[in-house]
Amino acid sequence: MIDDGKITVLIGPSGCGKTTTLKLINRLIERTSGDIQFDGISIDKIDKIQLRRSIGYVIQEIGLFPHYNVFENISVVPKLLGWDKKKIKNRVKELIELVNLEYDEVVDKYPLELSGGQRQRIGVARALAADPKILLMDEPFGAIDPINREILQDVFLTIQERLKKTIVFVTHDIREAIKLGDKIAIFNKGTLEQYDGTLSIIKKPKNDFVKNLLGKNAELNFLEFVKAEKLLKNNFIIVKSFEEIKKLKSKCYVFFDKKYEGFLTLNDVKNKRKNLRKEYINFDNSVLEGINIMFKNNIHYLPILKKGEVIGVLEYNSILGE
Amino acid sequence: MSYIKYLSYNYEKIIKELLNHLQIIGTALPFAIIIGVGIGLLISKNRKISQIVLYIANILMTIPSPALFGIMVILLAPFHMSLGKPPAIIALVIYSLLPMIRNTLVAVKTLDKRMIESAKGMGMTEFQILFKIKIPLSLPIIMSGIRNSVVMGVGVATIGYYIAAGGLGYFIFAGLSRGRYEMIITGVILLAILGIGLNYLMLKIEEVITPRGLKIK
Repeated sequence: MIDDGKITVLIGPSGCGKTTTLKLINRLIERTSGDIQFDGISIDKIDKIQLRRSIGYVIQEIGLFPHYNVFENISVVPKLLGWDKKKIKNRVKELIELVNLEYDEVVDKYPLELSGGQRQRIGVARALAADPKILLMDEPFGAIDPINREILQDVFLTIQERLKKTIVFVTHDIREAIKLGDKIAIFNKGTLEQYDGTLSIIKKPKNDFVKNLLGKNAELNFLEFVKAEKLLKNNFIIVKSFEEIKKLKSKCYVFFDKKYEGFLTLNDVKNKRKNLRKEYINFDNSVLEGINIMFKNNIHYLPILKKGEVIGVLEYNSILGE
Repeated sequence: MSYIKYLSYNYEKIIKELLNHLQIIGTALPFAIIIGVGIGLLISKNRKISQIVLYIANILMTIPSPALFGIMVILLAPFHMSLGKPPAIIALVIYSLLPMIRNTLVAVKTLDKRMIESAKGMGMTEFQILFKIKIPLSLPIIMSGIRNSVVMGVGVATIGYYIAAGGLGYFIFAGLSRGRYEMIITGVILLAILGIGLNYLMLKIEEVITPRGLKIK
């Protein structure tokens, strides 16, 4: 069962069957048993060629056609589907902008004239060309250096936030799986070891194989990719002055008078600390950054700011509880 | 007789045989391309068959060209075409097959498999993959096979003289038997110019038909 509009990551060591599973979906490899269905219809009942045209397919950067320029590469499937020229042109422009490239700069270039990262973006754009509901991606960022890979993953997540495609994504990089996956399917030697939501797998790995694959830092890896606003808590009180604190009982007091001024924890108040703590975290920073700030300052609370407003606090105890 | 004098008395004959030579090569070429490249593309999917076909083409290559022309004369006798251009053209086609089949096979085999798979995964039919991806990308290597065949054909076609097909072979073989060096020299120079000229021409064609995206280094 693959969820609509979500990213499902297939992961495992090489030869475990993840790529094979992906190719079974667009029938590059035919099944010998079992069934795969789209909206309740077996894929055997859909014409192979039509099926593939309705599914986006991205492989490592090498998949672009070297004798086609960017425009021609992106318009392959629309042309196969017989779209008219104007519609294709508009679509190509839209897609190049979607993947954060300059249309005029890249449209006439050939794959060999592009950087690895640009090529991969064009690969994603090409797969999205005919607006498929489903996207199959086979280690699309595998051949790219770590820095650009992070950037591409971020671009990819932003695109997915907007388009909400149903994506099946193959990788052998657990960090990538945790970062991108809404759900993760873990394969080993041709069998499915565990298939569940990313957080559930991290919290309850089914066996040693899964545990080893996740590594010792799985929780921290996960927190690196969760934005602070996702874990915000409301157990804090906004005050304007020290006087107000005395009447109240809360574990965290945020000083706010038209703008954020700082905060104090209950311990600070008990210890009669006079100067406010100035630390805070932006809503779109990662929880891991928040934890880092907490460690440095030996505090258990951290206000979360969004456009100058305090929208909540990060609470150390509840992060690990989540 | 001096060389210059020979040229000025015989320029009509020279032009005639030059055209004959070109006609033999020119007629054989399209057949050789269609058969050679066609076979190469057809068998490229099957390793075993392609090995067998290459083996046969290799054997055909080892037949000395005069012998092949002789065999053609015998084989075509029942059709009353045993002498003249037809046997020469057919012999030339057979000779050209090996470089064409081999280069076509190499070209298709060296294509990136992942790219073909990507094309397949996007919903291209076998036919579309062949004409939109495989052939355009193989064209440079196939063309160099064709160029090899043509240049080789310039030499092989001289044998045509022996079976009354005409061509530049006349100046060499007739010159030899009559001991007329100016004839031999004329033939050799013309053959050399023709070989170099056709090679250059084919190189230019190769350059023109190589897809732009492949020329970027």
